[in-house]
Amino acid sequence: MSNVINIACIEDEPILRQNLSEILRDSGYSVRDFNDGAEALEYMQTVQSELCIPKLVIADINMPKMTGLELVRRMRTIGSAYSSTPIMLLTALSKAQYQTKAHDLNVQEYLLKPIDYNLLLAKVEQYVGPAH
Amino acid sequence: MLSIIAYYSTHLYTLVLLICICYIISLLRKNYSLKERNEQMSEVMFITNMTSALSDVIRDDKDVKDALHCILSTVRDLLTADAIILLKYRDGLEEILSISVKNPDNENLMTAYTMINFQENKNTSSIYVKSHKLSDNTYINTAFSFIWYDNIDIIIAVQFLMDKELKEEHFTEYGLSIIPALRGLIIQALETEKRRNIDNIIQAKNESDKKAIELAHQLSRELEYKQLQNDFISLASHEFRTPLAVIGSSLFIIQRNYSAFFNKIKEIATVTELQRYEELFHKNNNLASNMQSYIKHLSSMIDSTLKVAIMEEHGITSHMQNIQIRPILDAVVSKLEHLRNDVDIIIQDHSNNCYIRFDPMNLELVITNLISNAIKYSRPDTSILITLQQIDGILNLFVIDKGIGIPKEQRSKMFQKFFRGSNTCTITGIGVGLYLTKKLVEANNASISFKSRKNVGTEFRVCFDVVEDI
Repeated sequence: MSNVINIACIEDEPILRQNLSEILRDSGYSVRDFNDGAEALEYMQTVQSELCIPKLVIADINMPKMTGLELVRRMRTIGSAYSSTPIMLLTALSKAQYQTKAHDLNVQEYLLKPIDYNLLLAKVEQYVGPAH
Repeated sequence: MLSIIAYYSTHLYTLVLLICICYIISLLRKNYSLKERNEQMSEVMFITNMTSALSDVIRDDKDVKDALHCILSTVRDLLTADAIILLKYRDGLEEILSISVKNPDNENLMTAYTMINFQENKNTSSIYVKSHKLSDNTYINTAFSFIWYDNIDIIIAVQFLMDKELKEEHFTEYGLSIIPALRGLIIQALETEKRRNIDNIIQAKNESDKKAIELAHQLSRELEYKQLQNDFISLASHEFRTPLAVIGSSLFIIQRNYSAFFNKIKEIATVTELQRYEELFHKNNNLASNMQSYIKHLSSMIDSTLKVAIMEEHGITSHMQNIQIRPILDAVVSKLEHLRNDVDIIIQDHSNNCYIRFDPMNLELVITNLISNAIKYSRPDTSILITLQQIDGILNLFVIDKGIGIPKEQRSKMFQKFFRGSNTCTITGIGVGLYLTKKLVEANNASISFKSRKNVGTEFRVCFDVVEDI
């Protein structure tokens, strides 16, 4: 179990969330999915076990309750556990202003939908290593 | 008796004489007081009339100059003067504010005489008379009076053409004692004009403020509309991308599951079955790949539309820097070359690794648009030649295809927004790529041109200035 790599997947579109989780799980990763940023943040604030802490966050930006950018901003202030967690924003928003904000929040990847999923898996492996 | 009669007769005579003297004195006194009263009445009536005229001017929004002229004419009639001239004097310049003359033929003479003589005693506050002999029995007598109003000298000149010189003792006789009242009225008229000017300025300012507020509202509405439009494009882009992402991810899962399923089948199928399944697998896989490439194509069209919309709203953002073209060209080619298996891409590089000044993101878009167009419109089993050529401080990028070309009569519309050649038929596109390309090239101080022959091909050429000192 110690080899499990947890990935948090936050997407408000249910089919896309389900597909994304399935693609990652089928590739051997452990995925915990959330409907929006608030749900994900609540989980991150309460989870204690090192095994359950996400090693990578893949999030949409435009979501109800809490946007992906707000989630990242708050995540970075929770504590050392999330201060350098790699983050990939997977979004339909192509405006430069969002990309700049993401860059300022130390977001590693800003990927535009629809994404090439082979590329996505390559990026995931780049940040957290291959799944076991 | 006679002595008594003589005594009384003498006294009667004296008495009659005394009565006569008293009567004459009373007549003289009565006459004087009447004249004085008439003058006083005239002055009162004049002031009353003129105040009423000024009130009319204020109420009826008439020109104050009309009121001044009315005042001067009334006074001139009252005094039986030949002219009354009102002068303004400031910074060494005289200007006639108003004039009333009995005989228009004398206007120039009266004006000239006033102009010449008013300055002699202009600092005095009292009325003074200046006489000038025009001929043996004609004098021009001018009574000057001054008003210091709002840092300006105002001169009132009342003129009489007479056969004698007018002296100060004649002032009452000729009614000049009315001049102080006249001065008061002129000040009142000037005050009215000043107040009206201030009112006009305030009114103009209020109107200007009102217009500014209206304009601000209009601008705000337009900005709001632009924002809505911009939001709509962003929203539309978002709303298109999300379903495409769902389709793409679903297709990816289908392909992967099908591949896993096929691998399992391979273990249990007979050779004949395997051959059939393999054919089916490749056919389905090609269909899925086509769907994936159309998802990308649709996505890139959304990108172009959004970029044009943003460019038209905000202009092109260009962060120019010294860059080499080849690395960007290679990245674009590796991204696009899989789009057509029946079209080769050949690169000839004679750039000598020179640098150009261009925004890297803009350059990537320019090259992407040119090469993807070349790929899209190439005839099957042809090649696209991309050449980098440095000559005389200019780097030329040529993208040459053997494609359908552009009909001659449509070449002038090549860079127009939403233009698509009549021969593009089933080849997809919305006609914004080249429009965007030209705008980007020009925003980075480069130029773009093309040559084309229908059914032979098209050659695009982009010229960049080479950066000499790196």
